Order: sequence, then structure tokens, then C-alpha cells
Amino acid sequence: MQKWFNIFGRKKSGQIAKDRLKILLISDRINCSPEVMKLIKRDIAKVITKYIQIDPSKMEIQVSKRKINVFW
Amino acid sequence: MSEVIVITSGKGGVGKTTTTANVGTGLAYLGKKVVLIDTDIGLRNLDVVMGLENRIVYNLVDVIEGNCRLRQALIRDKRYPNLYLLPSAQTRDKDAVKPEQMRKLTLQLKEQFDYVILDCPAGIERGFQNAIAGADRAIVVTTPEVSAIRDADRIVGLLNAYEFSKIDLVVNKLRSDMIRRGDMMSIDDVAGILSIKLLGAVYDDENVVIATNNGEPLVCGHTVAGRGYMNICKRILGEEVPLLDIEKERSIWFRFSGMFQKN
Repeated sequence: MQKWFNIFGRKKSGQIAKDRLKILLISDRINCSPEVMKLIKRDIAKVITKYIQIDPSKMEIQVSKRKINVFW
Repeated sequence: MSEVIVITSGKGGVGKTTTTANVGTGLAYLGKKVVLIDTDIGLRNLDVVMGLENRIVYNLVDVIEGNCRLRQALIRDKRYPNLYLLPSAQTRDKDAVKPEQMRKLTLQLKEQFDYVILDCPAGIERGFQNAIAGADRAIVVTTPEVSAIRDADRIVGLLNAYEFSKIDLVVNKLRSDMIRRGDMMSIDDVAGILSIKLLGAVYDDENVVIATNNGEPLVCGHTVAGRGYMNICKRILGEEVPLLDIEKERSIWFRFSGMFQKN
């Protein structure tokens, strides 16, 4: 189904709402803007790649209220 | 054991009052002794939704200020055994009551009733703090819209800060036709995003407006919304009830009558 939406280049609004909320609620919960969150994630990735050899594109960083998880 | 339940949402217009009226009536219908408290001082509405607006003599603020005794202010709903309403004051504001006083009042009511259900005002200020002060558990009502979900998440955060151990979710005003075509978040989407326990889901139903027009809760009837509310009541009492499967019913309905339904 997802592929069909992409052919027409448009996501369904329910999915858009879900994606927006996911980002919004994380930043609401820790009281910092999505923009700042992006910067935090970028910097964390930068620090890690400085010491460990990982492909940054394979790295996933999750920020929640009391912890930050880094997966690769 | 009696329980004090606050019904809250953060955002206005998501169906707190309707939920309070129907959950309260449903629990009374199922044999429990229930009192509903409208804590929205200055903007009382639970009385009209219940159809009891003509019987108000004393209100919540009168009880708190000692102008009358508690039992004088309780309105008995003659249609259901053991259902009572404590209406809010219309001419005062939220500061007329302190959280400590609400805590005392709910303790007092807890001795006489199985369930004390508080209808919380919108917002997170004094009215909200009054409403949650004496509550043992909370039901957060939301709709599948970004604004309502965002506010619900904020409310959950506040309730956690007040150390509520039992916070349940009710997703209201769902539209299966919109969910089907991907233009509305599903029950699972909403519950997943808020990550609190799902207590029930209520589909958008024109009968809610009709019931409010008539001043009659719809929980005892056979409407889609009424059945959603009745399932919530049963789950509150500890029964395991599966979620209403609108899609399945719809296909059976199709097969037999070929008629279209919105939900």
C-alpha cells in the first residue's frame, strides 16, 4: 500500500499526522524544539563517528525524556 | 472498593462531558452506585447533557462553602437507580474551590458511592488541578487529531508528575471511513503514540448529538457510540471486552441488506 502512495508522490494525511506527532511529542516531552533535537542528534553522531568506525547513515538515535539511545 | 475517576483531556471539545455522562450512567445501569461531579466552575454543562438542568438547587461551590449539606446538592437521576449528579456553579470561577477542598469532598463521597466520576474542565490550570486532586485514576479522552493528541500527551505528563498510577485512554470521534482510506489515525496509532493503556474507542456517531439534544445518555441504547461507552463501563468493572469491530459488522451488514453506513 505504502508504495502506491509514493507513486503519486503523496502520503496519506493520517500517516503525515502520525509522523508529525512522533517528532512533536518527543520535543514536547523534553521541552526542546524539533530543530534543536536535530542538532543534538547530529552532534552525537559526529562525536561517535570520531571514535568508532560506523557508517553515519546506518546510525539511529532516539531521544526520549530520560534517555538517549544510539543504534547501529 | 470505591474509586474516584477523573475524566480529562487537555483540549476542549473532545468529548469529556459526553464521556462522563455515559460512563457514569453506564456504571449505574450495571448496578453500581455512582455520583458525577461537574468540576467546570463557570461553564457547567454536565447537567444539560444529563437532562437534569431544571432540578439544580445547590451546587459544588455551595457544598464547599458550607451553604448547604452535601446531600442537599446531590441530584438523583430518576431514570437510573443509584445515579447522582453534583452540578457545578455557573456564576463563580475556578478559584472558588481549592484542590485540598476537592480532596476532602471526594473522600466524603467515596464513603457513600462505588464510583465518583469527575468531569474535568479543559486546560491545565486551577480547574484541572481541582479535578485531579482527589482522583485515584484518570481517563484521558482524545480524538484522532494532532492537536488533541498533543494536549493529551501533555496531560499524561502532568498526571505522571502527580504520581497517578492508573491512566487509561479513550479515543473518541473515530471515523472508520476516514481510517480506511488513510486520512485518519487508527486506534492503534493513537494508543501507540501516547503509549498508555487503551480503555476504549468510541466512533463518531450522530446519535451523540441527538442524545444531547434530548438530555439522555445513549449508553443504554444500541447505537455505535452507546455500545462503545458500554464496553468502556464493562472494562472499568474488570470485564474483558473486545473492541467493537466496525469493519466486520459493516461487511455482515453489507451482505444482508446492501445498505451503506457511515461508520
